[in-house]
Amino acid sequence: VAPDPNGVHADAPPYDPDLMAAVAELGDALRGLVDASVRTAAPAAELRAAAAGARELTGRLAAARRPAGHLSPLDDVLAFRQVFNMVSGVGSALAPPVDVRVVEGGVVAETTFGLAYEGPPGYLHGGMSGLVMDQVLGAAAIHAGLWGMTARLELDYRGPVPLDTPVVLTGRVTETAGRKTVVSGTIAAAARPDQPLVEARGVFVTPRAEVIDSYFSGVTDGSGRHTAPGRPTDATAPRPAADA
Amino acid sequence: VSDADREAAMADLGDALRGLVDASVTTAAVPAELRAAAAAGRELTERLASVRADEGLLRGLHNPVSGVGNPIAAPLRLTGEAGGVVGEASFGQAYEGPPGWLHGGMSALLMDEVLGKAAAVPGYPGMTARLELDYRRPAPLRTPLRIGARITEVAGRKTTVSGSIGPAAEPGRALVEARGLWVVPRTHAAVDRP
Repeated sequence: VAPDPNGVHADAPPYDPDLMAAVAELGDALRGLVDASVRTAAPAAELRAAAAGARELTGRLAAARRPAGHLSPLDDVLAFRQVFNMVSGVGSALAPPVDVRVVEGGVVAETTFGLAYEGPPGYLHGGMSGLVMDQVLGAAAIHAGLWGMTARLELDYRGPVPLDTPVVLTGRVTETAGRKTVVSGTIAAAARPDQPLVEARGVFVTPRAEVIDSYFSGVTDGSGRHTAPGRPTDATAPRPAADA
Repeated sequence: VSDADREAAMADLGDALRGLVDASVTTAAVPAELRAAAAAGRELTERLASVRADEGLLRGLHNPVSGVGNPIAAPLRLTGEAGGVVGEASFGQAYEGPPGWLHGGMSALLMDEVLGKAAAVPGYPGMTARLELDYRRPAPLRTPLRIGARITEVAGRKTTVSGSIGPAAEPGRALVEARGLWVVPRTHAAVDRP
């Protein structure tokens, strides 16, 4: 499977495809391990053996670590590529993952939530709906060139979201004024996309330049250069097709 | 073998997998090492998946916010306090949203769990009907956060709850504030509530 780590900006800068594939393979393997760990009926001795095996693996991976604030060489803040994002990242064992696609008028994502995300028996944890919708609504704002940080998030729960069932998530910008962007979206069963189970509304605000500086002064990219998120400028806007 | 022993072993596995998840998102290992780790991870999965059943699951340990057996959970340890619940947790790199800060959606996940627990304190488990969050400042990673909630109103089957997330070192300072409405399903209400 060719990983699509971004899904928001089709014209993100290139990355090392071998490293990307390996990160996605490990993310996939660990997602499977997380799922197996909450579904297993193994006896205590087997669980302890698995824990010991996992710790050995941790030791191997932790032998060389990125320092805090130093982004993965696969990430690009300006293109919003975040391979370890806990909702959409191909490299995240915590992510379902949610694969966000750009469509006419907004973004759409499909995913299936496993038992690790359970709240009420058989259904998605209500807070998980908030987690994934923050990501999807934020991606809709980014796609519209209106990156901002979450200022307000509202969720109305119409019905419980079933586990182990394909669901579809949507987001679209409904209003924009200065640094503020309002985005609406839904979660629905893929088989019944017109019957929302959760309706969400988010307000995203692009911080002023001095606030961005104070929030992200310690962030460096894979090559060690300072970087920070923001709305596209002339220098950072996606290149026109003629240049690509 | 007692259930307590198996629960302790599941908590041990949850702890080990939390460490593995953290290492997997911070490692600087080369692709060949990542692939070897993936293969080893799939072997562990097969061993655990070979013993699958509808019975024998430790669901009580698998809450995605507070479950010690769930690698997705930090986990948050909640305790009761006068009129509500409160918990404390730190979040590592795996929970990042904007570079260096907690994912905004994590605040929603945390608040839903904690507000829902506060709503259930009188003994009526309800379902989230509405949740709204106001984000005042981003929440830092790798910093103890205090997460608390209390009931503000009870009217029939509806319970209104408020809560906040703030630095544990600065009690009273809210980075995120939330308010939610929990509704007790009719069947429960008819039996349990006046």
